[in-house]
Amino acid sequence: MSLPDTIAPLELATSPDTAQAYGELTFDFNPIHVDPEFAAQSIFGQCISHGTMALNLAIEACERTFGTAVDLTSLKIRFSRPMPVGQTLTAGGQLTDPEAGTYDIWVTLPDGTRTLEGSITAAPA
Amino acid sequence: MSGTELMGPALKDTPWTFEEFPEGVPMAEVAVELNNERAALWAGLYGGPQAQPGEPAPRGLAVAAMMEAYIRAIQPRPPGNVHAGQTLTFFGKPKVGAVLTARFTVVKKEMKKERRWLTLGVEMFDGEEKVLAGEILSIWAA
Repeated sequence: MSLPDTIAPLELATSPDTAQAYGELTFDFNPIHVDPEFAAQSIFGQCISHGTMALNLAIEACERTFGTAVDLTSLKIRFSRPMPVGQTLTAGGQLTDPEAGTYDIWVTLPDGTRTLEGSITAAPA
Repeated sequence: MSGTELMGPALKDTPWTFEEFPEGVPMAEVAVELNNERAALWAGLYGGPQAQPGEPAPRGLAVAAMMEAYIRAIQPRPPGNVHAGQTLTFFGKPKVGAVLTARFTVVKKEMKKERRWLTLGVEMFDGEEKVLAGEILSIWAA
């Protein structure tokens, strides 16, 4: 079967509540994510979202696009920019090598800044 | 896993420093259950139908469990660590209710531009079946 050309965009509106919920999901209560007073004194000046919250948004976007027909087999990404809590994240991707099943993937802020970028491989299930 | 007893987390009285990480040897193992509460949290964040016990869990739920295992595996840790990159290869797809065990090994330590780059290898198993493997690239704070 052929692989889809694009990863359908998937959004997540972040907030203090999503940061808290993701902290509960991962046991990661680093104050940079959940404590505004601490974060205000950091180099970021405000709370930033967990990096893997964005990674998992990208993984979820891939899984929803692929359904049961295609398996996500690997990924390699870097967290390229901080994501202020309160911003909406959008994950997406583009098939770049159909033979190898390679996609470029990304997560962006509303202004288009990429906060996560990298690649995945996929194969028919 | 081999069925042997878990190594457990790497716990100290003071935060782990870059110099203390033992390169090239397994240093911690932590088990995390993909329970219903976790599946509910996932569905609340990312939407979609909640996977029920016995149903395949979203791949990201295993990644979230890996992150919990990572946080629990090395304690305490200095404030200010940065998760800079991630590689993962996916194998089996665990079901809600599975107990996953993650094993962590320091793959590489490297000083670059006065930053402490730490590459931690992770393998995660559902019983004997490997679920995922990869590397967590961090800038360690101290």
